[in-house]
Amino acid sequence: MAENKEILLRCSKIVKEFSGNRVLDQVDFDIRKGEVHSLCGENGAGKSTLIKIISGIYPKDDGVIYINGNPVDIHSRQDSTANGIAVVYQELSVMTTLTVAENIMAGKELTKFGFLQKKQMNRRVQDLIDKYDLGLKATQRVAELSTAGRQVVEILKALITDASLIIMDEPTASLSYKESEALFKIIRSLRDNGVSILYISHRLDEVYMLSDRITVLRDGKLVGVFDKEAEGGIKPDEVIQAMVGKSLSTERQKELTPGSGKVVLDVRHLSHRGYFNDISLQVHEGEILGIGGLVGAGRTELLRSIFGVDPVTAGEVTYLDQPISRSIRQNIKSGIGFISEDRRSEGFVPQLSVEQNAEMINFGAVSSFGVLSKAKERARAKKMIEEVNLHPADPKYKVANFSGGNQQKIVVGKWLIHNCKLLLIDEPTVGVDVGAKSEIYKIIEDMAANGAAVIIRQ
Amino acid sequence: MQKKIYKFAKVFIIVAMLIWMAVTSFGSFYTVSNLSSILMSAALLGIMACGMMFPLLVSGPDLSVSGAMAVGGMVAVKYITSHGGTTSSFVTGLLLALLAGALIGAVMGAAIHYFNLPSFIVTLAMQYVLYGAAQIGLKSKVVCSSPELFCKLGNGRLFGFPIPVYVFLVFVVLTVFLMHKTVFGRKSFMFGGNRKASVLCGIKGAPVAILVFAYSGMAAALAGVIMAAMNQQASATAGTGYDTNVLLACVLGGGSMGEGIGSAGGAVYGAIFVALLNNCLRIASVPSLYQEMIVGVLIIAAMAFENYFKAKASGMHWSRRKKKVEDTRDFA
Repeated sequence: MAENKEILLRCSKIVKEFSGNRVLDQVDFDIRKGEVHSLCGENGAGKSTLIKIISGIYPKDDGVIYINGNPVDIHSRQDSTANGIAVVYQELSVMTTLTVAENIMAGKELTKFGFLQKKQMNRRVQDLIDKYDLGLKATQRVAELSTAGRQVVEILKALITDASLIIMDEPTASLSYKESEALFKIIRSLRDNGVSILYISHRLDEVYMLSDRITVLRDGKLVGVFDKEAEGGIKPDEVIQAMVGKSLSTERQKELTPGSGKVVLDVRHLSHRGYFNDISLQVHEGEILGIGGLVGAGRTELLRSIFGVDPVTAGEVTYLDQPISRSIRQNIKSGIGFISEDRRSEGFVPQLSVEQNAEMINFGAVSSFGVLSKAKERARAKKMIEEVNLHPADPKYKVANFSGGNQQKIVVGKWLIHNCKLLLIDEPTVGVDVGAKSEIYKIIEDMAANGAAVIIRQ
Repeated sequence: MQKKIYKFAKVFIIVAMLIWMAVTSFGSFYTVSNLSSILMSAALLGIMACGMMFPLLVSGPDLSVSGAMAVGGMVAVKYITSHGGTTSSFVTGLLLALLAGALIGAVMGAAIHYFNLPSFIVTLAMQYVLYGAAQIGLKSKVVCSSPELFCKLGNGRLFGFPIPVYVFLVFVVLTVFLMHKTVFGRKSFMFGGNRKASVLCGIKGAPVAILVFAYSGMAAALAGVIMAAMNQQASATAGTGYDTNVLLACVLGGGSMGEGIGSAGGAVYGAIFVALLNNCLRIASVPSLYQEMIVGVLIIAAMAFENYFKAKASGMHWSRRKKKVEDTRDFA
């Protein structure tokens, strides 16, 4: 039956490069009419880039997109809308002070002699809502709606343009379990009405449950297409295998030596309501502890709560046999370091130089009575540059002008020369090229070898 | 390279103005009295621009400076006249005025930081409050012509230069030191440059936000006392128009709107530029109505110029429409 279904959109040999970095490499991809098709892959696999090319946000470097068998040029959002492609974004773009109908008809208002035809617009939107049984009122204000309701408004915005393909990027990221269920019902109803859905989610159980087919990308290449209708259906193990790749066995392996040293951090029954619940763990001197889990599992939040950025609702943490402070400043003083996953917005001050960024966490080391010492600053920066092998090795160079990998080396390096006893790392290698990646891992391993305890979220 | 052109262009404009004056009205521009009046107004502007550069690093312009000038002048003059115009009363009055300015700034900084308000609005509102306070305090003009030290602060000369110029120089040295050599200055750059990263590095925002506005308020109060000494009286409207002129000086000097960009040298350059420009327009007998228009156009041109070169220097395209897709942030 699946073979009979017509192909709605086909991408052939799509190539995309960002400053020499090949993000999509000859990717073939197709979506049939009236199917839910999931796109899977790890961070950096090229999922977002692919949907941005399909929806006209990025130009492609090579390849062809066919819709209903005809090659099309998609250069802008307008082009993709004209070709029946609509995107429901992660961050909702609804205007909360307007009604549902006003939001949906925004930019396509019906007018007569320049006057808005409110009744007709409301009726048209209500008809659409009723057709797919979405349970909203056209005259409701969006401010009254829950996140899930706003998501439905976004979907309606797609439907009003007669979209034949709706792309949903992590639609359940901010929904509760119950709201997600309602969304799945809507997705199925759309599919049964002949609309194709391109679904992207990190939650694999949803993907298995919803998808008719799954396409897996890894490092910008197509690694497999899995079909529910195929013999044996979709096997979760195979999908995960494809996502992670064979490299699992060849990837750098570390001798696992559970710490025998002193307990540096002891977390007991720690909770932050709504994010994570009842976490207990211990890290010893010289130990690297990895925290695994899916997106939204609370890994980032756990690290932030330990460091004192986010609050704690229950449980306790002891650091070197003392209860940990709730003040970031105090924690840094006592030798705890934290590296955020969002390097650009939380990692460094772009317009300041390497040496100025290096001293951010410890002004005491480079100043006396509040007056900075140029010599001490320079010496400290030189030491850091040497230890992390920074390129270019210029302490006066602005951090904004470094490559992503070298920026991350600065972020890690400033904790390195601070001689941390405990380092909390939230995904240290986002957007970092392979070479710098292994250098950064090496730095972290060296820190552990020197007796620091490390918690790393990968 | 781009940076060099930019720096060169900045100096070039000043040189061009000087040449223009030399060609068109040498006799009236290049006189001792005219040059020293340029220096006087540059000094007043410069003191306040040095002050305002700090809040511009951290959160935005301090529009209350004209009000703080009036209050500073009022506090000093009232204290001096009510204590018999002795030299010691002058010193105390000056210190009280500086303290008042710093307090005004601290209140604004605290409001901006703790209630997360836009500095533009808070300082504008404070300007109204301060004007009101000065008008209540100075129902009639308060004349003050003693002690001698007070008059000298406004009109005295040392080695041929007006005293305010020396005050300005001392203030510049203080600002360079604070901004570029101390932990406080560095924290201001960091907090403005990346608030989140600074917090994660254990930098507390409140002291920075409060101190930068306190410094700006203090600078404005100092300028207010000098202004009162020049006129030998305190007036509630003496500072009118200085807020925009100081902001213009800072913007011309490369100050950002709370993005951690700026320098003390930029404030000095901007102050000299604005003082020179105002003087040139007057000497060239441009009607004062047109002068205001020209100043307004200049603010916009300076900002556009600045942005153009900043974007060029960082390798990005300056126009939004032609922005290259080089953002590799959202690979995933």
